[in-house]
Amino acid sequence: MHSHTLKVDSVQLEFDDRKILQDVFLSCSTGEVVGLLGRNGCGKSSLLRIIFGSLNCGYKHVSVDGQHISKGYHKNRIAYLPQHNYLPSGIKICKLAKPFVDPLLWSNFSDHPAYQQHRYKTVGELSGGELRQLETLMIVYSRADFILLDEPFTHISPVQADTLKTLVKTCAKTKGIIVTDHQYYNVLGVSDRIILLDNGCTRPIKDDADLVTYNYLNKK
Amino acid sequence: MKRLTTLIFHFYRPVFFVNLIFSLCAIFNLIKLGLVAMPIVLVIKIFGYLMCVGYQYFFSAKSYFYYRNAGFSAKQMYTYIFILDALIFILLSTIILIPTYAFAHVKG
Repeated sequence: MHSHTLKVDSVQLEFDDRKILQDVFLSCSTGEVVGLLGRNGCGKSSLLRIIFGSLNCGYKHVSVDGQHISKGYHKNRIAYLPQHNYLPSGIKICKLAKPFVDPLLWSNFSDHPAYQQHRYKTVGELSGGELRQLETLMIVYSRADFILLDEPFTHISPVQADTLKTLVKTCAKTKGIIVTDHQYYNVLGVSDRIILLDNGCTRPIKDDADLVTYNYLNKK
Repeated sequence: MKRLTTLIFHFYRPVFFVNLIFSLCAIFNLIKLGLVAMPIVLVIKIFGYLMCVGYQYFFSAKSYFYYRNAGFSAKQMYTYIFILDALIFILLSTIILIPTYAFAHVKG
């Protein structure tokens, strides 16, 4: 299996003359999980959407294996789990999943209890938690080499969160995963390394003390 | 190809009936006025496509992420469904107009 590396730098994003992102450097290789932490409104979701290609910004440089890419989703290089629900309504889950999930991972995906239980249902027939779980599963088992998960632990139960962490770890053997969530203990639990987004800049985090230094966590 | 076809049908599904109604309106004008109605037909079809974009934008824009994650931008999906719709329109026009003109010709 070939290893791939996603690199993101020189991202500049402004809203109403307010600089949201200005000094960003982020890299992720297949086989690792990178946790992205940051306070509300610091630009975590914007950064993920810029990498994915669904949000335009002043400037960015996103590359995979040194090759510049303008839209991350083209050719299934990058998949992104948005904060909101994204599956089209009125269509059965099995029909939505078939063209979406990587054929090489289909048996793993289709054996999952959540898919087995809900495959003949439509989006409207699922609860918020069930839908979130299925949407996350579909992204993780998609064709992309890199997966961006924006708040995957929100709206799901602690048991489902543990299952998701195991799944992310398993999938990270072949994919690169960037995960962000306000439930930082879940992010810390699943990540190989942590990046903090602070004042528009990315800062590598070594331990909890760094998170306190940058005022992300309170001193105990 | 089968995968893309499935995605196109998923994207086309919510706006199929809206486009069908506009197509039937356009064909009605063709029956009534003949080929001189072509500019009207064009306006009706373009208006139908704008309605379709508006509907998707306001009611199911979040699902764009489904198609992007499948590797296709919203622009690509709109292009595909408008080509598909144009083909359906041509097919419907042929099916409806040929017998109508033939009947009018026989009638004298």
